[in-house]
Amino acid sequence: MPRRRHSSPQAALVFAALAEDAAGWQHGYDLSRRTGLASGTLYPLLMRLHEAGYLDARWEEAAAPSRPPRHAYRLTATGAAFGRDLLAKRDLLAERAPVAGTAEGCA
Amino acid sequence: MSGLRRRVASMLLEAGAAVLPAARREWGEAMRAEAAHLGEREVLGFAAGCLLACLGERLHALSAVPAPVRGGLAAALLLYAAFAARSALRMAEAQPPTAAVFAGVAAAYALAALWVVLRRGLAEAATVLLVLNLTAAAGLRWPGLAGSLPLDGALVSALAVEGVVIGLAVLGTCLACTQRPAA
Repeated sequence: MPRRRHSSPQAALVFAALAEDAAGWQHGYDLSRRTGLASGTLYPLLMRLHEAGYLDARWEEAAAPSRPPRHAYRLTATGAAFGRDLLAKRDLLAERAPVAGTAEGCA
Repeated sequence: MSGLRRRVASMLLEAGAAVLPAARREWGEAMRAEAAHLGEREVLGFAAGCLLACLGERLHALSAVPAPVRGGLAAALLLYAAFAARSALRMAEAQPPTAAVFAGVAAAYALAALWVVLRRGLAEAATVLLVLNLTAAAGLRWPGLAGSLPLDGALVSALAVEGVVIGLAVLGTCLACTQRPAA
């Protein structure tokens, strides 16, 4: 199977959105709106993260009786730790980028 | 179910669920259930994305061929790219537009081989090649188009048909390697 390291910018967006309410369960479309990722990008990511043990998924009864149960997601403890690491690394990179730009400008 | 958009969305989601690998079936259900909670305005875009995701998953599953098969097919794609590049060089002076097509084909096959090696996306690469070649083959049969281009139409057409055969052969190999006997 292809190697997937779950550290793409899109994965970081999903980790960030899920980490905002780490204890709560979130739905696919809400995640799609909050991350700005289309369903075609989001669902494969959710599948990979679930497969890697970073994501819990469960079926929730719908609030309206006429609607079907809804799939909901939240980070596992491993996923939360991985997400924190990933987001911290990305923050570090973002902090370093302007410094590099300034150095180039001075040269 | 009501509204045209919702009906089309439902069809797209059904199609998506049908192509998903068996191990991912629950995700197809999750997409369909999620769509049932969306408004008329957003459901179609959501469903179209889900269909793409499902097709991607199918191709991803098809790409899981044994490493020697993947390596062999990547080498074959690279060899084909080398032949196309050699043809492009030979035609460069006499038929520059046709040589440019061959150079493009060489680049496409080399990129496909690279994709197979780096991302292990054999079925994805084969599908892209298949779609490109099918489009080219159909385009060259369009009345008047082949004649209006400064190309050796018969040669480029043969190249496109060859590409379709190669794409189908690679996908067929993926299918044969990943298909499991029924329990």
